[in-house]
Amino acid sequence: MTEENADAQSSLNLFTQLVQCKNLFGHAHATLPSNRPDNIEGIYEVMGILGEGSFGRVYRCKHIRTGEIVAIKQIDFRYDQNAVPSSLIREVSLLRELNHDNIVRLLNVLSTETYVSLVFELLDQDLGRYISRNNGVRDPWIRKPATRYYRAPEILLDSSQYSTGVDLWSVGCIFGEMVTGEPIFGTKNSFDELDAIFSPTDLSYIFADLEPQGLHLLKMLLCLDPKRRVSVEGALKHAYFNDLPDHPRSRRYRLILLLKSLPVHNHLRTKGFILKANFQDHNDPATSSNGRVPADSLENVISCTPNSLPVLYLACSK
Amino acid sequence: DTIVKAEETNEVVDIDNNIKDPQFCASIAHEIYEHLRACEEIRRPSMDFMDKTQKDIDASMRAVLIDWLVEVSEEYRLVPETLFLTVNYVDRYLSSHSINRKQLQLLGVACMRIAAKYEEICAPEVQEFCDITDNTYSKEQVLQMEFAVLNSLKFEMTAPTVNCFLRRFVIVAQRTCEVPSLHLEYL
Repeated sequence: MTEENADAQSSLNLFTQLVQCKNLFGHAHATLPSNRPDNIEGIYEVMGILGEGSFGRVYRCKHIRTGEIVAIKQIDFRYDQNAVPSSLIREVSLLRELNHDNIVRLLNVLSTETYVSLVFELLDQDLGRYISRNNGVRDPWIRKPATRYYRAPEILLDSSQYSTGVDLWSVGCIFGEMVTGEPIFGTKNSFDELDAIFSPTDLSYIFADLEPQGLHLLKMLLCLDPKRRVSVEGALKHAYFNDLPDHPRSRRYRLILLLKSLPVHNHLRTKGFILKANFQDHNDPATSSNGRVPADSLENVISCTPNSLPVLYLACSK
Repeated sequence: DTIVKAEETNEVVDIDNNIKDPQFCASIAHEIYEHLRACEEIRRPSMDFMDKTQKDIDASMRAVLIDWLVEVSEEYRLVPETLFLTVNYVDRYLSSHSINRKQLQLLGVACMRIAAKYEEICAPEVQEFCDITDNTYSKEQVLQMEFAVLNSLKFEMTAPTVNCFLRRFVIVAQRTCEVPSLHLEYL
């Protein structure tokens, strides 16, 4: 089969799946209890809601005794026949393994018979202000969990076979966002998301600011066919990264950090992924000399595929 | 010794040269195994829990349980890793909790359910685990025990097992032999 034929075949398959899953997305998610608690297990005082999804909620909390500010993700499994769902067991076990500057730290797990509270470090945010100052896009405080923006087409199409390529797609989306300052596939639901992904677009027009090498890499990352999408190894070797060291806060540098922070754990590769992304523009005056992404300007993308709904939330403090 | 050398220096033989298949994680395999080794120390059950912690059960009862779990894993066609993880969870739980002999089998099925949820694509239902104990325990009992184990092990369910290392050792052994041994493959 020629490459062209293979492409046509794969597009046809994608289209068939697209039609099939139209019904799938029609179902509404279970509603969440509307009230928020005053405290969590009597240990943390709840100060606000950071995000929400079908899994439950993310709260901004203060440790009553120490005053430490944290983010608490509550996962409700009251209606789950299997009690503690496998997605939760995997997410927590894997987070427990991870200790990396670019991955948000899981500090504690509090559990009751019906829900589990995951206590995460809460990162300072200047980013929300930064985005609105530059683009006036949205208010970070009301931003909803939205890792959907970064979901690869094969996941959106409910493919049962997907691999490490889904992470590379996400990196491509985040890379694009670094350039334009807003999510490149920022849509309201999964169906619109697919629509956006499959509408014919000229990337070189949208990313006119991007260097040709960067555009080339972006296209390799956003390749629809996961089999032909670039690998982490391939991406790191791309000509776009020639002649480093660059400015530590530059787009190139941050992209490398992102690629390198793709999970180093075997299980993560097959069972889920966790990323932490930095969206700051390299013109930002607050520069860092050591080349590490400073913790006070990070946006978290906490995500597990495919069973638990991925979550994106802004880490907020103050 | 050959294995250690091969892994540490990568001079004897480079087994991490399969860059085509992402499942091999060639570029980070070394780090993964280093991490697994470090983890092994932390996620290890205590050596003397039978003497120190347990009052009602002994080593032979544990052996009977494990033998039975092997059969269960075959019955439900679970992957080998699930079985190895189950044993790890059972021993870690027994390291800190005294349990009476009537509950030992309950602990076994609860641990196997957790391991299956962690490792399997499709884990058997709770009811299936009750059935296999001839309904000695109710669904609620299994779920409660499952929750007790998760809490006691602090949701740290990623544990390196013999199985993890064996896979790698077999590859090393085959690459260092001139004639690859089929026996090792099916170990």
